[in-house]
Amino acid sequence: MVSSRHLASLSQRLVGAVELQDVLDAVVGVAHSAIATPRVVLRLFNPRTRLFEARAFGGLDAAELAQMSNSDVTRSEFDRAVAGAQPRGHCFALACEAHGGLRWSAIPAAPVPDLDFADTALGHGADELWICPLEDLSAGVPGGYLVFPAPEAPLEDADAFFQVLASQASMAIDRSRLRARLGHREAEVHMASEKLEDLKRLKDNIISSVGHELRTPLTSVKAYAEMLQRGLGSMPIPTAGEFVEVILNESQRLNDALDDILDMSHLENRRQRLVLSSFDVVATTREIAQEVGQEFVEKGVALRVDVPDTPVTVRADRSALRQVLQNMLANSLKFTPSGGDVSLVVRPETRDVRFELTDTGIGIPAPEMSHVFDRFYQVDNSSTRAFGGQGLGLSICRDLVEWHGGRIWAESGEVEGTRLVVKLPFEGLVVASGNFAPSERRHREQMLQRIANLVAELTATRAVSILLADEEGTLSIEAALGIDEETVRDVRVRSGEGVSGLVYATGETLMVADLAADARFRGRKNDLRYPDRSLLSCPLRHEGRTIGVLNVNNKVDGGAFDTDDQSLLEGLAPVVAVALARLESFQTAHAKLAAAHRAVRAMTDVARDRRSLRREALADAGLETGRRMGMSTSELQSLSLALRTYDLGMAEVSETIRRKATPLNAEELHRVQLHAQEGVELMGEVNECPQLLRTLLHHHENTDGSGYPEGIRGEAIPMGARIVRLVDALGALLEPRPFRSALSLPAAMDFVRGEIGTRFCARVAPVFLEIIEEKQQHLMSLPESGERVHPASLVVGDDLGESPVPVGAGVRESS
Amino acid sequence: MASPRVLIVDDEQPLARILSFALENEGYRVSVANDGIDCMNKVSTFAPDVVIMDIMMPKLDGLEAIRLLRQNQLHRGMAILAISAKSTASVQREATEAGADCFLKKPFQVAGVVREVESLLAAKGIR
Repeated sequence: MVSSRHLASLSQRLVGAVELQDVLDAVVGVAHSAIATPRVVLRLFNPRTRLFEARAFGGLDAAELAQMSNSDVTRSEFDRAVAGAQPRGHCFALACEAHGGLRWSAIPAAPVPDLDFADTALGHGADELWICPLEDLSAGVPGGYLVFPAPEAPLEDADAFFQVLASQASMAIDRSRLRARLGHREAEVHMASEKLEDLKRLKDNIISSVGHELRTPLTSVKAYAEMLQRGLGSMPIPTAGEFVEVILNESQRLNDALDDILDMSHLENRRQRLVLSSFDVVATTREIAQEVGQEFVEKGVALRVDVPDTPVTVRADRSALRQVLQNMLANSLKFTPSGGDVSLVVRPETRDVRFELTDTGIGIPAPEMSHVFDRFYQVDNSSTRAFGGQGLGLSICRDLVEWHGGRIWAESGEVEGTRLVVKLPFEGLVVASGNFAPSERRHREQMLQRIANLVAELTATRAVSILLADEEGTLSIEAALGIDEETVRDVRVRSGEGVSGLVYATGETLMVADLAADARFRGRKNDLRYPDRSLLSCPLRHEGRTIGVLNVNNKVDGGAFDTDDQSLLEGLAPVVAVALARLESFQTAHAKLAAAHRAVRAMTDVARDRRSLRREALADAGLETGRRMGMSTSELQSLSLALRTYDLGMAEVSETIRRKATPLNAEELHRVQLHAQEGVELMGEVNECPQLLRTLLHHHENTDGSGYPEGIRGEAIPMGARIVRLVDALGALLEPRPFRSALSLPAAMDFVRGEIGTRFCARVAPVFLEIIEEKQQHLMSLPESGERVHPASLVVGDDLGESPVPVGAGVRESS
Repeated sequence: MASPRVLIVDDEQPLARILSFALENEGYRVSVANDGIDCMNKVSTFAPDVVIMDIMMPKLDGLEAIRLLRQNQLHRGMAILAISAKSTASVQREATEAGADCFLKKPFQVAGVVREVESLLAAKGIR
């Protein structure tokens, strides 16, 4: 009874296995020794990627491992393979037409030519390839299956053996997953209840704060009126006049407080009334500084305004910008004691104007930093009284700035006080949506703005245009960044005409280094009247049809486009196409559109937060690694996008956790680890490419199985994910953290080298390090970061803590 | 007997002014402090019989100020009337726990404040 002995050993091993990977390894281990087969692979169905993924291996050599772990089986491929296969008890057998495992067909009569089934590669040297589903096929698609060349010797009780093996394995897998999910649920429930508590506190705060703000002036009004009434007849006229004046002043104050509160509730309507015009922000800034100057003088706070000598023109709602600056200045004045300084610096940058307002006020404690833009939030409850106001000013600023596609955030001043930073794009987004109802138009504009921003951020370009074709194949601009309104309104391009028309007609990406010098376009008119020469134009396809064209031009660094840019844009095009398709079906799928919104926005945030020349160079090194590892063009496109968006899920993690300087507790850690799954869910809303989703899901897996979310190991980790892991880790090591200083490049490389075989893949890491070595000079010459590191995203990539880091102390304890 | 002394501690200046106007009319000697720190300074020089203390104030809030006053042997006999526009139910309890003798919620009647001051003094046998 050989097989029963094996089954007993399986039961024993499964009892001790808690983690999913241990369960899978136990199943494969027992199957491999019991079946007398040279090779076994276990595939599990991943509902997220909708693929059978190779998760455990027995008897495979390095090349086979690489091949199997990078191959996936779709449901339909599996169904087709099984449909034509011969039942062998619980199993199914596929016959090999020719040894070598190249051509397989199903048995018996109807051969399936060139059966597209990745597992056929396993069968070389054998007559048949067996599939053992882990569940009864009558229940639909199984959660997984074992696949192996037919047993070399017939198995005793083969039928019973496979049945028991399958049911034991599938129960153990369910058990392990359930256990993991329960752990997650518990943490989630806990976090949800905490969030509710927070909301309740916020609500109490609002009520108490509003009550206080209204009651205080009311107290004076009542008190003075009471005294007037009592003194009527006996009170000297000047005293009575004084009292009346106080009553009037306090009534005004009451009125202002009410206005603020109502303003907040009306803010949403205001958005639709924004009027864009071109104006000089330097003049506007000076004007406002002049207006508030007196208040600063009265309080004894010095106001220094540092603006460029030449005008800086933006397209925005002028009154909105005025209000933003006024509110920010009022906020700084309020929190800066007399004798302090406030400075407002205005600087044009590549695509936006940066306003930086620094004060020497009471400062904001780090944990409160992310809340200062929340409505009714004030850092210290007891100080509410001291500084008046409901804490609305900054929340209004945030809305106004974000409606312009800009950004606002707070930082601690270098020595003391607070710094508020606003980045306002020069050229607001131009959207052509004349025929839409107002509510629809708002969604449309929001979505298109997010898409255009996303493309601009990811490709680091100044101009973006999205063209869609009408039924006759004539392209018009749906949305554009950095292109003037007239062009957007007027341009119509016929299929085959100009650059966009050509791309639309051929369905091929076009990269033009110098439009004027390019023979293909000599004599043709430049359809978008771009002011510059280098451009990249990529077709947008949806459901097999070319629906439009995505153009970018004018790189921020002034360079020409290269193949890396092309990979990235091609990787991004499906996202844009899906998002646009969601937009068109808006009315039928509101929820889906909202999810797409969230996804695009999260991608843009990630791209912005992590943008720096060095991150960019590291991503390029990652892409080159993929190239040298022999990844295909489509794999490289996915990788390119993944390298820039892998932290997508972090958008869902609260700022408090992200910027925490002390070690994370177990729950917070779990929250951070969820970002891998959440990234996949977000990306899944706008991109269905399984390779991309798998890369995102597994980019924190370690080669020794100690990573997350699934703890898979070695070659089971997709190639792209292994590369992203390296890029992320090296990037994180080169940046300072609250708990350690930045490593030098050689030290960071040493660290990575020391973790080969534990965290990093032994095949990929040396190639990556070799490329970094080649680029060393270039990398060292790059500044630490393109701009001040935004306080977000400090935690990601920092699960490198528990090993000794060569320099710096106080390393975070993390997974 | 010299006039009893009342110290008004409130950062809300119009209110402090009208309270001192009313109390002076009743024959009290009145001084005003604009925050908790200011209050601690004035207490030792002015030696008030009654302190009217607002709760939410800059620098040192009213609750802290009351606690500090109560810790000082010299100020043991001083009566404290806490006032606040804060709407939560807990303020009154907190104020009493900190050592206030009584509490009035804003907005109040000025006459009511005067009455409270009178009864506090009566309880201490000053008037």
